[in-house]
Formats: sequence, C-alpha cells, structure tokens
Amino acid sequence: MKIEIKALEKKYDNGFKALKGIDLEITEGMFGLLGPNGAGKSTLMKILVTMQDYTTGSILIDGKDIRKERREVRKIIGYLPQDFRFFTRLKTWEFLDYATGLSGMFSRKQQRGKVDEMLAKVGLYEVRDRYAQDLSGGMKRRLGIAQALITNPKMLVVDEPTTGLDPEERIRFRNLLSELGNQDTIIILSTHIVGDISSTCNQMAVLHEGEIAFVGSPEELIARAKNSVWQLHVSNSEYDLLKEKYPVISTIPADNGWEIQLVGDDIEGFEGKKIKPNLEHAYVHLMEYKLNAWQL
Amino acid sequence: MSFINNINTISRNEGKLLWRSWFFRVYAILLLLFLVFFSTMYFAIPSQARWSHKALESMFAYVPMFFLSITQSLVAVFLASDFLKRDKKLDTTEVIYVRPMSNLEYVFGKTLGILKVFVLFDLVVLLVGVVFNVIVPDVQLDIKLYFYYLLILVIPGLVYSLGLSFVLMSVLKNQAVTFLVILAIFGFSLFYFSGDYYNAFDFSGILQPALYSSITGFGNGWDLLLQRGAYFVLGIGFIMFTIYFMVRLPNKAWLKRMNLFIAILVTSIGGVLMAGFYSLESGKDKRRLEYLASNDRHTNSPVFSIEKNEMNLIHKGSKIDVESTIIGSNQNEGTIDTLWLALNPGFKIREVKHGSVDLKYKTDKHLIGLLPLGGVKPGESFSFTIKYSGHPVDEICYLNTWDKPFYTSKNNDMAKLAQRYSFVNADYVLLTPESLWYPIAGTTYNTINHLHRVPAFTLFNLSVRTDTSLMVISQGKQVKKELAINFLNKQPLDGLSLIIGKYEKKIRTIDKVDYAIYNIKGHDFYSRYFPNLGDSIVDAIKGFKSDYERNIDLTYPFKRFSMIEVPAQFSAQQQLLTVASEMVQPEMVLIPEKAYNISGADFARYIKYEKDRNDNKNKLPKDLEYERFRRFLFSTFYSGMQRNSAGIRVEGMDQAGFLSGASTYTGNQQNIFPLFYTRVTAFYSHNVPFMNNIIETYLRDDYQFSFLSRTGGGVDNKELANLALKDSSLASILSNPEQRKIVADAIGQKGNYLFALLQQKVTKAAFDDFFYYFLEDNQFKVISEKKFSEAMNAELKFNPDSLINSWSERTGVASYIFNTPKVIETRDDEGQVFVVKFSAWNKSSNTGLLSVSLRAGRGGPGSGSGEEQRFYTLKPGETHDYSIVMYDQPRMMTINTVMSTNIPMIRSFFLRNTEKYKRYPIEESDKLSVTTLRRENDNEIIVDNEDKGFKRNSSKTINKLRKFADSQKEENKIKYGSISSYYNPDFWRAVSHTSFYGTDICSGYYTKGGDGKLEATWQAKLKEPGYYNIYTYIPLGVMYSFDRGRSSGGSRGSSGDRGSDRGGPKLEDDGTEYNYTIYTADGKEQLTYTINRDTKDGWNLLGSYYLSGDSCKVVLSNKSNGKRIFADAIKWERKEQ
Repeated sequence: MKIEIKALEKKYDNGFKALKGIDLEITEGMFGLLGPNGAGKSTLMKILVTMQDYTTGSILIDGKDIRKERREVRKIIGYLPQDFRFFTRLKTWEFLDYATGLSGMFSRKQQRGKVDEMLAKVGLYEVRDRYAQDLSGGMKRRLGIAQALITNPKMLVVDEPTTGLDPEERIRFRNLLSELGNQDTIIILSTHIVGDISSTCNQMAVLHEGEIAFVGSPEELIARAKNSVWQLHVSNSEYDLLKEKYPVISTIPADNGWEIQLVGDDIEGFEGKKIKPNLEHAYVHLMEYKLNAWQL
Repeated sequence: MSFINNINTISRNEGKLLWRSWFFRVYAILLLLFLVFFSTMYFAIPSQARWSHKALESMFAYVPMFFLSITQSLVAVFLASDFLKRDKKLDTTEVIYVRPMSNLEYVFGKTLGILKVFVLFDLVVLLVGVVFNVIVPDVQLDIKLYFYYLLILVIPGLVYSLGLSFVLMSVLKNQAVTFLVILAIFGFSLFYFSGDYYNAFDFSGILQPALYSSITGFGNGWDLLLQRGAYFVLGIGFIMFTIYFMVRLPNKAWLKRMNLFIAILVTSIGGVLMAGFYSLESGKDKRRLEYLASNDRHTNSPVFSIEKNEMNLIHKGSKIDVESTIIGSNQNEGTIDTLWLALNPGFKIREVKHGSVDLKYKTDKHLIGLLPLGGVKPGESFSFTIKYSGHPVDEICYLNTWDKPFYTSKNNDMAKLAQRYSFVNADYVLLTPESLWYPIAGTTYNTINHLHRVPAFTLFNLSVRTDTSLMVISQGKQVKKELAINFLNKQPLDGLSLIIGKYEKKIRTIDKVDYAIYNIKGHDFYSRYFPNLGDSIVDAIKGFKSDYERNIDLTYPFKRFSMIEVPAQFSAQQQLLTVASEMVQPEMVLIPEKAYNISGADFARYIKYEKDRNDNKNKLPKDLEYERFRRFLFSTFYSGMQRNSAGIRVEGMDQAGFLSGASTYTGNQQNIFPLFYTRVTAFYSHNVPFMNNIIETYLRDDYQFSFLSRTGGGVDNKELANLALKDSSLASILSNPEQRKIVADAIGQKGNYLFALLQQKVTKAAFDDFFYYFLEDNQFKVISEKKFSEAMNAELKFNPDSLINSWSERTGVASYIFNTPKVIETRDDEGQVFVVKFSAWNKSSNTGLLSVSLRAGRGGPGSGSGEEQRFYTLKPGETHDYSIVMYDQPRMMTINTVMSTNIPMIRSFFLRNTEKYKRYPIEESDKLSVTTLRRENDNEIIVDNEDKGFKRNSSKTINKLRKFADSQKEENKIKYGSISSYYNPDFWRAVSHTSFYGTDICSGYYTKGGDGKLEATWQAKLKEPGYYNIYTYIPLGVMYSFDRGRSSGGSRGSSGDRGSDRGGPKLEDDGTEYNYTIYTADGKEQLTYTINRDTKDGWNLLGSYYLSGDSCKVVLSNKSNGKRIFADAIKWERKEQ
C-alpha cells in the first residue's frame, strides 16, 4: 500500500496556484503533513479524498489512478475533516450506521455488528443512543474517527484532529491514531500542531507555498537543526534586539531579564548554550533558514 | 446490489433527518389538526355538511389530498433547499461524499428519503379521510380512490417541487433566492395562469378536474394522466439535472456526461408529455372551430324534414353500432340537391342506402351530404338507411358556448369535475340529442344564421342490444323482444336519449302516468329517509303535479316521468335562446350522481331543521316524510328557473353558475318547465325566428316572480338589455358577439313588450285564456306564425299580424319619470273604495308601455289575492295622470317599464299613507295631463346624487389593492353595483335600487362608516334668502334585511317553498348616525341624524335654518358608528312666510 503523487499541480479558477508540482510517496504508517496556513495542505488533502480535482500530475493510491478509478479509491478512504460537525438529528449509532451502509456491506445484521464494535472501540457504546450533537468535544472527535474507520480504510486522512481538545483528550486521541498506524494503513495527518506529529508520525512532509519544503522522518528534520538552537539569559534591551534578529521560541522571565530560546546558526556577540532541538525547533529552523518564511 | 443498498442507506438516514426536523413535525401536526377540524365541519356537522360535499365518495379522498397538495409542495421546497444548503455548508457532508456511492445514488437516495417520509405522512392524512368516509352515513368507502389521488395528484406534484427546488438550488446556490424564485413560479402557476392553457401550469394538480364518479370514473382519465405524468417526469428530469450540477466529483468522468444526457432526455420526455397534454386539449378546441366553420359553410342549404327515425343500436364495449332508417320530406320551396345531416364526428359511416341501392354522399367534418339522384323535390318524401359505428366525441356539443373551461372544472366547492356531454363505456352509456348520436337534418349552431334553427319533431323507434346485465332507458313504451329492448313512441319528439347502465328502478303509476326513479345500484341513499311514507307518496306527487300545472296553466303532456341518475361529470351548457337544459329530456329529468348538487336531496341536513322546529314535535313521522318529499319535489323541479335577471336576485344560486359566469345556468337545470313548453312546443316564424324563445320567456316569467322586486339592487341583465336596445336594434344586438350575454334578455325584453301589447288589445285574462289553450292544442308539432294569427283572430277577433310587424320593426326604448303614488280612501254604497293616483311622464322620443300591478292585502308572491293589473301606453313627451280603483286596501304598486332606460326597470312603491275623503270621484282614468311632470315644486330645491350639484370625494388612504380587487369585479364594469350585505366599500360606490330617490334612475352612493375622510356634498343655487326646511332622503328599503334563518342554503335555489320560513324584516342600520354639516347664513352647523324605527322611507327632516347668499350646501361625512352610510338626495323647502 502506497500513495504516489507525481508533479501534482492545482490551479484554481481565479488563477491562484495552490499546488506547484508536488512529488510525494507515502507508505504505510502515520504521515504528518505540516505547513503554515495557505501552504496548500487543505488542497492536497481534499484532492487525496476525491473531494477536489487537480490540474495536472497524477496520483496513484494503492496503484489506482485517483481520477480514473474514483469509485475504487473511495472504497479505501476514511476521512475526518477538520470542521467536522454532525447532522443535528442523528444519534451516535445512526451516524456510524449511515457510514457503514455505504461501505459495501449489505447485511443489516453485519452492519449493526460493525457499528457496535466500532462504538466499543472508541468508547462510545454507552452513549450510542445520544444525539451526536449532544456529545462532548472529545466524544465528537472519537465519533468522527470512528465513522472514518468503520469502513476499514487503507488510507485515512485526518485534518487538524486535536484542535480544541483538552490535553487529556488530545493524548487519548493520539494514542488511538498510533494504534492504527501500526496496522497496514496509511494515516495522513494534516496539522499545524507540531506535537501531534512528533509523538506519532514516522514520516512527514512540510508544505510551503504549494511546494514540498521537506520530506522525511521527523528525526531527519530535527537533525537539520542541530547546533542551531540556543538558550540565553538576556536583559530587557538585549531581548528587544534579539527579537528583531532571530525567531524566539520561548521566553521565561528571570532575574534581571529573560531566559529565552531561539533559533539561529550563530549568535554573534551574545552568550548562550546550544541545546538539543525538538521538532518544533526544527520546523522553525526550516522555515527561517531554509525558506526565509518565518514571520517575525 | 450496491446501487440499491446505497440508495436505501441514504434514503433511510435522510428520511430520519426529515422526520426529526421540527419544521416538518410542526407542519404535519398543524395540517392534521386542520384537516380533522375542516373535515368535521365539511362532512360531519349536520348544519354545515352539505350533501354536495359528501355525496360523491371521492370527496373524502380528495379533500385531504387537496390540502396536502397545496401545502406539501411548499414545505418540500423549503426542506429540500434546506438540505442542499446544509450539503454546501458543512464538512459533515464530505464524510458522506467520500463514500463510494455514485452521485446518482446519493441524489436518488436523498429524494427517496424525503418522498418516503412525505408519503408515510400522506397515508396518515388519508386515514383522516377514510375515517370520515366511514363515519358519515349514505356514502360508501372506495379505498382505491385514496391511492389514485396519492399517485395522480400528490406524488407528481411533490416530485416536481423537489426536482425544481433541487435544480434551482444547485444553480442559484442560495436558499432564500431559490425559495423566492420557486414561490414566484408557484404563484404564477396557480394564480396567474389559473384556468388558462387548460391548466397546463397546474403543477400541484389542485386545479385539475379530478373528482371521481363511481359510475364513469374520472371522465378525463387520459388528460389527467398526461398532465400529471408530465409533471412527474419533469420532476425526475430536474433531479437528473441536479445530479449533473452536483459539486461532488463523479465516480467516473463519463458518468457526468451520461447524467446530463439522461437529464436532457427525461426532461424532454416530460416536455413531450406536456405538449401532448396541451395539444390534446387545444386539439379539441381546434376541431370545434372546424365544426363551426363546417356548419357555417352549409347552414344556408335547404333543410330536409326528418319525420321518422327507426334505429337499431348495438352497444359493445366503448362503441355503438347503429342502423338508422330515416323517413322525411322536403318542406322547402326548391329542390334539395344535397341533403345535409349532422352526426357526431366520432362515428364512422359504414353505409348509406336508399332502399337497397347505395346512396352517394360526401362529408364535411361532422356533416354528411347525401346526394339523392335528381334531388328531393318540394313536397316529396325520401327515405334512406345509414349505418355508423364508433365512439362519440364531446367536442361537437354546444358549439354556441365558447366560454372556458368547456371540458374541465365544474366547481364543486374546492374540487373540480370534468365536464362531459356524452358517455359510451363498456358498462355505461349516456347519449342525449346534443351529442348528435343519431343524424339530424341540417347543421347545428353556426355564426351566420343561428337564430334560424327550424324546430323539428321526429317519431323515434329504437331497438337496443347490450349486455343483458345492463338496464336500458329511453323514451317511449318499452317492449322486450328476444335479445333486444325496443322503445316505441306514439308521438314525435324533439329529441331522443339513450341511457344504459347498472340501474335499479322504482316505478309507480299514478293517474295513468308512470313515475319512475332510476338509480345506479348501490346509490339508493334516499329510501331510508322515507320509511313510513307509503302511499302518501301518491298524494305528494299528485299534489305537486296539480300545483305545477295550475301555476303554469298547462298540463303535463307525457305518459311517463322518470328521474334518472347520471354520472356527476355529465353537464349541460346553456343552449342558445332557451332556458331548457339537456338535463330535461322528453319524459325524463336527469339527476346528477346521487343528486349531489341538489339541495332538496340533502335529507340529512333537512332532518336537522325538522328537529329544530317546535311545531314539528307533534307531527307523525309519516307527515314529516311527506313534507320532506314535497320539499324535494319543489326545490328540484320547480325552483330557480329564471336566469339571474327575472327582476329578482336568485338566492342560493347554483354555485357553478355563480363562479363560472354566464354560460352555465344560473338557474335550476332540473326545473321541469321545458317538459311543458320547450320539449313539446315549437313556434316557428320566419320573420321572428326567436319567437319560440319569446314565448318561453313569457311563460316562464308569467308563472314565477310576477310581483317580487329586487332585493339587492344593481343593474341586471334585463336593464342592460334595455340600455343596449336604446342605442341599437335587436338585430344588431343579435349579431354582436360582445352582446352575447344579453341576447336572451334582449329578446325576452322585446318579447315581454309584445305580450304587453297583445294583452293591452284584448285584456290579459282573455289573451292568456286563448293562448294557453292554443299551446296545448298544438303540442308536438311546429306552429307557424300564420296559424297563430288565424287562431287568435278566430278566438279573440283580433288579428295580431300588423301589431307583430310594427313591433318587430320598431327600435328605441322609452324613459319615464313618475311621481309618488297617492292612495285615497273613500266609500261607495257597498263600503270602502280606494283610488290610487299617480302620474307618469315619458321623457323620451319613443312610445312606451307601462305594466302596472297593484297588490292588496298582505299576500305573498303567488297568493293572488287582490291583484290588479293595468297597461298604459305613453307617447313621446306625454304626461298622463292615472287613477285606479281598488276595493281592497292597496299595499304596493309595481310599475314595470318593460322596455325603458329606467333603472331599476321595475319600480315598486309601498303605499303606506292613505288620505281619507268622504266623497271622492270613484273612476278609473288615464288622462293626458297639461302640465309636465316636475320633480320639485316652486318652493323646493332638490339635489340628487345624479345631479351636477352632487359631489363626492375619494379618500387618499383607500386601500389600493382592495380597490383594484373591487374594480375587477364584473359588476363594476357597469356604473351601478348592488348593495352587498357583507362588504362595504372604502369609497363611495354607486348603487341602484328602487328605494333610492330618483326620476328615471333610482340610485345612490354608499360607503363604509369610518373616520370622516369621505364626504358627499349637495350644493344648489339659492333663489332667495329665508327660512328653509332641510330634508334628507333615507332609502329605508335598502336598510332592511329579511332573516332567513331557515333558508335551505343548498347549492341550488329553492325559493319555491321557502316563503313561509321567513322571519320578520330587521332594520340593519338601526342606530347608525349620519353626520351632516349644514351651511347656513351664520356659517356652518354640525348635525347628527340617527336612523331609527321612526325614520320614514324617503324624505326626513333634518331641521330648519335661515339661509342667505347665493348657494345652499349640505355635507355628509362617513364618520359614523354604523357599518355603512348612504348618500342619496337633499331637499331644501322654503318655509311659508
């Protein structure tokens, strides 16, 4: 199972080019898609789930051309959109039932069994008769992932899955995803929360202005930022100066000034110690030093 | 498999979503509540539920479907567009969109989901209908009808509405705009195009004639199926377009193109069906024009006289096979080369023979021109046999009627019936002469000389073979002979009818006349209302017959009288120049299915009235049933013969007539008057071709309503006819299609004038005595003008020829002014004597005739007690003073101005004040007066609303819509309206009524009592200053209403037996304040005059004032506590010094 994206371009009717020649190969496991707003993440995701068409290029999913064999592709897709709301008047189980009914499973008994199994798996069995709109935020996310998973998709696309969740729910949700990632499935996770990726993904790509800025493992990205992350103790005036020159990642008030972390290949005239970068540092480093895209 | 599974899944869940939406639930509950309430009132509550609501079983299924249809489409549109809006907006749909179903499956599933829920709800609604159907007595349950309506009316409308809203929503992408656009489309379809284009725009089906007869079904099945099918298919086409426009990427690219192709294909099929429907309907009209043209081409050919027609008819399936042997002669002065016959164009002629030789013929549409060798010479007889077979078409009927709709929509309240004029089905046949089911001589109606229709009487013998389980009904003595049923007639008839069906018969012979009721098996709803009547029915029938004969002064001319139930769709249109309807055939009266629109047959309701009446408490059931039966006879066969113009407003007028205008009868189609005159007498005058109609009108007016004055006012058709006759001759009215509506009245007016002239010559009593005997002696044959003149001369020593000639040539009408009549009471040797004095001035340049009636005592119409009648001729410009001597106290004087421009044409005076003198000359007189009649004395100034000194303003705040609506009303096109009992206009509306002040035109204005923004002003030149009494003219006669608490209120007039039920008059305007501003020498003064029981009919004193200056003025405002304010006339009377 793999996804092969070649020279993918998307030009909207208004002339805006959202994707400019994307080449990407995604294999089984969790794949993180990172990038600032407008980078083309959403466009790519929508194209992958057959909700949008592209302009040129090609996409093969499990060897199937997404354009020519849309029906076959749709059979193996699970999708959880970011702004996922619920039909106001469907119950939790009915929602899953709707999805199961369209999965190619014809027996009502089988369908019901599948629904119950999935409800148990995501811990919603107790609330199966509750209207979906009355569930808590975390439950809704779980129901969302449940409806995406219920058809046993080979490719699962999840858009900004943890936005708006409390830390506990977020962790729970990440774990649910990584469990699946161990199976014979591709999970594409589009997010702007770097933490989501660092804790779960074995592969990732960074999109920037419709192009791939990085593709590889999170470790590879982190390795690129080695020796470029600093920790310093600075006064107020120094802080103002540094802020103009480097992306500051964290700021903690300290005696006579600030304890800060920043990204920079060297910090001439200042004293600090190099620290081990994490994925967040590496992402900032990529954006600032490779793409000059960091917005100060 | 996955196709069905996917559609199922989607429809199941989308259905759930719809079912759970509040909007739908609120709608469903409200509609159900409304339907239960409405059905209770409409079907179940005895005082509200009329027989016409429930007699036809299909009404129980139709009513819920009607309300479903009109509401459901709108609800569906709202919900459908709401669904699509959600699709567009939320990512939620995307989790469905990524599923592997096709776009077609998705949209179909969605549509099916909505349909499922609606249909489920529809079934619940239908159950309401079923429940009422079962509860209500006298009706049967026919469960299939419920499904017919669901399939024919509701579902196509729903699919179309859904499709339309889906596709618009896909294109417009805005719910509000879509909703508005669809509302506009619906509004145009239902209201703007309502009734136009054969109801092709009626997507909801509620304008379609869809009531079902349990005898003949819909009667327009194909038309209905085509129209409804077109909308269903169009809806599917729109849904296919929606799939094409869907934003979701198709599973395969070619699917989108295929969708488009299918969408175009299906929509086109819908379009073709609609075009088919339209051409089916317009084709009928087109053919009618062709028939008319064909009549026009041949109408001037000499007409063969058919004397005898022997027919052998075989009925099988939806066809009849006829062999007709005709014997006739040429009564013309020249040879007939081509012998033209008219036959229903649905029949195919198989053979025409003269003896055993084939007879050559040509055809022109429905006309057959036989070409006998050498022609038929004058006076010569000729016979031939014609064989034809097929299914008759309705298009040939009533070519004189071009009012729409002709085939569709006869109103039965909300539901509509198809209009059919003939039936030949496998188990039912109904053929009347209008359908030309046998050949008649000459053409039918044409535009060239339609008045010259030579009447004919033919001796018919008919032999019928049909399914032996069916009963055959026709005119004549019935003789069974082997498989055939023969009908033998002894006397010639003006037409023959044939009815075949699953009838059952009840017969009773009374005084050698066979009275029979034929109803379809299972339709005897009436017997249970007469369990105890027994032999009293004989007395009831005898009594009714003798009452009727006495009233009309003619005897019933047939040996049989049958009431025959016919399908509800069978209709009769107004025939040209006669009141006789196709519902009355020789020996028989056709009664619509279960007498559904006959108020006298509403026995259940009548029983309720019986129970409410105290004086019925002690009556035996048998006596109550006797009254019930008599009431049925009177209201069905006696009442409402007149058009709405016989000098009286028709109460409880037939609703069809009320709603659809002049072409349908406003009177009672079952009135048996034609059995006494029209079907048995044929007066033919070459010079006065409409003589038959003149006599019919005269007899009709004579036996009904001779004394009643109009109650509502307004201008009626007779007055319109008079106004038309003032400016144009009768001939030009007859040839002017615009005047078609008043042709009959114009002829009637002209005819009444003739009879008044004849009666004036020989007295009314002598003339009537002669005339009625003359008519009875000459039944079943054509009467020539010469024969009439000779008979009158022999009997009354007066030859009417010259009178008739001068009458037929004269033009113009008179115009009169009357003074108020005076009654003088004096004595002679034997007791009280009354002298009624009045004067009349003929101010026109035409001689006129007045017919003056005086009524004494309190007798009601037809009481006949103390009635005096005089005729007076007035030459142009003359004023005459009249004195009439009466030996009973006269109560009312009615002057019929016959042909005049007076409005109202018939003026009534209540003779309330009597002057007493010990001695007074007791003599009748008609003296030429030296002084011209003036309306005011020297010391008086009168300003009427017709005068220049009268002005009225219009309020700026008039509700424009209402005024528009008002201006659309038919009667507003003429100046004078009538006073409405329920609606008071927001402006000064001109009305006419005998109670108003006026010389030749008695009129006034009225408006709603209100805020004082409307004013009426009377102003005149003041001759000299001084003290004046100021009077206002109060038209008290229009302010009274008669409580008709016990009115039968059925869908037909039933005034025949209603007189005794009337309550006393009620002064409606009692307590209404009239606020006047009087302009005096000192300025102006406010004055309030209140209407009360002491208010006099006519002049009422407002007060005395000193006036100076050069003008006098009174202003009336509409500021009042009352409902309405009348403005008529003001009089200033100079007080004696």
